[in-house]
Amino acid sequence: MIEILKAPPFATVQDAGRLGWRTDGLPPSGAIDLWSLRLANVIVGNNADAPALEWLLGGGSLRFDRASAFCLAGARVEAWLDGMPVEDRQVCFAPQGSVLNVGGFISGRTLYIAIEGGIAVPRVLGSASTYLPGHFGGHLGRKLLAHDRVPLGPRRWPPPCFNPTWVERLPQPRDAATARFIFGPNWEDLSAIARTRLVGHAFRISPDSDRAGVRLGGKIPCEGLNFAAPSEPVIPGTIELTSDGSLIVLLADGPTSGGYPKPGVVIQADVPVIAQRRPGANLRFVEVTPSEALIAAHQARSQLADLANQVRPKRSRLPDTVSF
Amino acid sequence: MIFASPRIEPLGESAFLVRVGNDVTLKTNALAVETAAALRRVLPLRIEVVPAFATVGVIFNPATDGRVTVESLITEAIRNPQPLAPKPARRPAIIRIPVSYDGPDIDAVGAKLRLKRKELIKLHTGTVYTVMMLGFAPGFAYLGPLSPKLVLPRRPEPRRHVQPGSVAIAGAHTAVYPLDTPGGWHLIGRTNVVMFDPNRTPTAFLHAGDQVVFEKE
Repeated sequence: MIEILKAPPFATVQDAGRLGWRTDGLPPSGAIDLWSLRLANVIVGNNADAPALEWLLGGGSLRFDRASAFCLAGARVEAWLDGMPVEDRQVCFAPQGSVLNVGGFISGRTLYIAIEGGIAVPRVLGSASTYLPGHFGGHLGRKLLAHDRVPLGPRRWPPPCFNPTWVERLPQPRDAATARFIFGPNWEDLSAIARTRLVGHAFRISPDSDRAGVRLGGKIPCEGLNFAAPSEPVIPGTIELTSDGSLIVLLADGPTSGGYPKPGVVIQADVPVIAQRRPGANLRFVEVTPSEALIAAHQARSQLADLANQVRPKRSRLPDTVSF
Repeated sequence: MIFASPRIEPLGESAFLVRVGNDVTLKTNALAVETAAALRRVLPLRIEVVPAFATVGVIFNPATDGRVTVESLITEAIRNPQPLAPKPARRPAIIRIPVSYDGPDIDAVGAKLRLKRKELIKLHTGTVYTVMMLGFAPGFAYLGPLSPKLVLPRRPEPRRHVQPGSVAIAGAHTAVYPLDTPGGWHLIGRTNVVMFDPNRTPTAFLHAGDQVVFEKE
């Protein structure tokens, strides 16, 4: 168990999401920065997609009711375990009864706290992710509050073995100011000015952003676009152009369909960049091909797989002794 | 308008949109729902096939399914549509949704459309609607087409909260709000039918292609 002592302003349980329910209109939910969720889990020896805590704002504290390894990843944060500073992207061992204090975020917007064994909340429709609008999943379908006791999964033996240098060269979405995107269904409908603006302009992240999407300041001319088009399927990463000329990038809790023009879709490897940009920070878009997007996703996947192999080396299987 | 042949458009590297037309008519929508069924027959079960008004979304994991493979399977399914399963002899059952027509906007809607409450209810209950797609929120089914006499633009100021079970109209559609969400549609009634329940399978009460009538409670 962990017990929340001081309620964080906005923390939920999230895993890799609830897939397969879009025909019912249900968005996937899950970590908005999947890369950092997976990184934190892998470092602590969990399955990459195990449920962890997602903190969207700094503050709050929790107590470990059992000794556990944990790892912080995503936003850079000031944090202390029983008064000792905690570094992110490292394995930290919390003794039984120790208290983790989370301070303000220094950079980035989304922090993941993965704990050895994972968060053992009941799964709803195959996932432990919290879907706040539907009041289900995660811990009682809501944000974490003071006095909440959240169950942990069993620890595995041996404990995670991790060398801090292993992650030095891994990308940090919180430090990126550019998101790569693929032309969307309505790219051709944009005027020439609108197109150059979309790829050349720095957009400011609006404070009006949440788990459903990030709103960007800075207008795009939208003459000639059809804002009454029939609603059609969208995915996290979809860039929508609203009728006042501002852009929205959808995230994990965003709707499964939308009627706004879609000039582009942020590649899956760079959705974490969107999730980590802080309100007021700038963001640029750069166009890539689907092949480049697939390579980026493949690189991210193999980096995590390599790291997972180092943390928990796979035992070599015994050779098949039955042979003729 | 229905296109001569469906178009396949990329939606990022992990999804395709199959566009069969560009309007919200029942005919285009029926083709979209049919295309979704055809795609489901050829694609692995883990790939999500999501019909909308005039498009079908195909959402997959490039790492396990392969983007080129998925695109080829879609192209193949569209080019050589397999004969549909024989139509059931009986028409699909019509789903009935009891409604008490006492929504907060019913009088304002009546005034705008110059209809008495009774006439409005008669028009709203007098049509068998088709579920054209789900979207906006879990369990939110776009039902159409609405009687032309009931067509109104959305409210200029959306509500921040709409009660679950609110029966609403806007444009050529009617719907039941499944959750407490923001909403810009006109609320004309409410129902006790639970439109979305995560502890039920399937979770949504209605699905694309279903036939629905509203009944005055």
